[in-house]
Amino acid sequence: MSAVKEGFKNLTRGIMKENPVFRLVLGTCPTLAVTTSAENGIGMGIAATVVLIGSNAVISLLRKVIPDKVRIPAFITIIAGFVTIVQMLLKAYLPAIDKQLGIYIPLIVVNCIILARAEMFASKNGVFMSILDAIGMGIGFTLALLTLGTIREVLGNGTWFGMDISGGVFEPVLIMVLPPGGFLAFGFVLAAINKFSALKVEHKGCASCPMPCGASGKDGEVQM
Amino acid sequence: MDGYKLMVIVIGALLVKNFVLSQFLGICPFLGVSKKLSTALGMGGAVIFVMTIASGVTRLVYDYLLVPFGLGYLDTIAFILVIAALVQLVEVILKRFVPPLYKALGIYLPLITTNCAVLGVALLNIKEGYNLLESMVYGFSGGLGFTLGLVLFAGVRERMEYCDIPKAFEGLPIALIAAALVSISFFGFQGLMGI
Amino acid sequence: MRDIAKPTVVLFLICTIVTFALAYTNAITADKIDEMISLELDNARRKVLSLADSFEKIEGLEEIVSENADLGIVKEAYKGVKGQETVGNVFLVESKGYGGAITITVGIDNKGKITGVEIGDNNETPGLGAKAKDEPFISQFVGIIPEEPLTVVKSNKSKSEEIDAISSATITSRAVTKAVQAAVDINAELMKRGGNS
Repeated sequence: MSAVKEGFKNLTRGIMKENPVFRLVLGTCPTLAVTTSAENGIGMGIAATVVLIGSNAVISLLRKVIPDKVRIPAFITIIAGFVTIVQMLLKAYLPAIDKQLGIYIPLIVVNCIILARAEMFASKNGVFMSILDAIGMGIGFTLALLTLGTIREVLGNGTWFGMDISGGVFEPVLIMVLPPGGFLAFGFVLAAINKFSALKVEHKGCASCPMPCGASGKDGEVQM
Repeated sequence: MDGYKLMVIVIGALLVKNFVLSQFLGICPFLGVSKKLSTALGMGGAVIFVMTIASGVTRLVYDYLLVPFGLGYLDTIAFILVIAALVQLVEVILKRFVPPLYKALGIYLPLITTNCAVLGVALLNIKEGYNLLESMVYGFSGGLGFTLGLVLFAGVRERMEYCDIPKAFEGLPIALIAAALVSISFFGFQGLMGI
Repeated sequence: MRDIAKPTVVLFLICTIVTFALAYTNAITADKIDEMISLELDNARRKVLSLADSFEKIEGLEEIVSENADLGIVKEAYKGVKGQETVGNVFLVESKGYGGAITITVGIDNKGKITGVEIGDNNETPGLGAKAKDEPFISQFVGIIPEEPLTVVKSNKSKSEEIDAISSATITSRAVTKAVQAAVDINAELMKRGGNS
């Protein structure tokens, strides 16, 4: 019974309580870059989820074999391997998505979410639980991208998944699908979360990364 | 003619298609270390340094190792390993031979491996078909553009410290909205990119 | 000694296994990827010159390009064939837009009429330059027999050789127009040479 409960906890953690984008503010580059439409958001979310499941599973399997000293290069190699496989499969079977997401597909390698889950969860837990954790985090990431993609596409283009829904009621605000719109939408969504939830957005950011993508120091100090 | 092309690359990477503000590469450090001007400068310096060298090395690896053996598909994995090794190497060399520079940039170096601007510039060099010199110029000016964005934004954020901000917007949300405004102002540079 | 040996061996093994996995995936996807790319190009050719049943590559483009550097952006040319008859030419042009190269396929029939323009790979800004592939911009080219060079105008289009720019995306509009113009020019050149021989 407790195993089921624990599994459930691992699965749901990433969706709400520790949502990688809205709570931990990880993986901000793809979050801002590809959310010009809801469809792109979903595409990126699923691609990253597949990589996350693969890397979490393999790293969990190898967690007793990989020496501590070289674990980061080992993790990066494994992650990069999965990313390349996903990229090749996309090119072969869904070339339209591959073209839309462009270099942000190979850049999944340096998405902190994946390295953070490898370091914080997969290297310490069993395979099954690691996969559940990956699925939960992947869903959380995908939902976040879908939310931002929806906001930006509806406001900026008057469409949702390519369907016209503005109905002539409002004129699309082009800036929302341009780069500034990404910052703007993300800022307002985070503020809304702060306002309406008891839990604050904890910008642990890259501090929760083993090899931070840039580190968010408290008070301007850089944490190593 | 060559000089003209290089200039287009520099202006493009620095202003028109700024790495952080319009291509969203390196957002984590952009939000993370832009609270103070001094840290922003340190981080920027380290990124310029690593991006320039990484651009050159990955270009050589791609042209002389991957392509001759038909291994173009290994680019992502080869680049990230090259970058990781390079960052370590730069750290060791600086520590040993240029201690003052190491002191200034040292603490930022380990953070750079997973900065997506570095892997991004390596991949973009291949995509755009830049030669060795163009790649390095693109890497350098991309890093400079990153630093410019970071420093300008740090200035905005230092001023914001003293502002009265609605509670829900404190911290990251207002920073993102400020970033949106800086990003809008960079739109003014689009006119520079004629044909 | 063991301290150095074990990590090295493990890391080496991981790299080797990952490389093999990638080589294997590449082996099964490479043909499919090539097939998708050629299928896409073929579809684009059919769309812009729907009269033709099949296409034959025209060789010797380099010769024309070497005499006229402006035409260097034309990468490939195909002869559209229906039965035994040539019905027109299709050109694959790579023009530099706002976000890098844009691949454009242009079809021109025997009379020099533009039969279609198709935008392929591009990195233009969503909502701005990316609109180049949509109506009403792209259809401005179709059906015209340009008698003078095509130009981009921002408003008040007065003749068919004037192309209305996409608002806030003049660079993309110019890039596409330049590509179509290059196709028209190289087509005229091919016609001239074809007539001589």
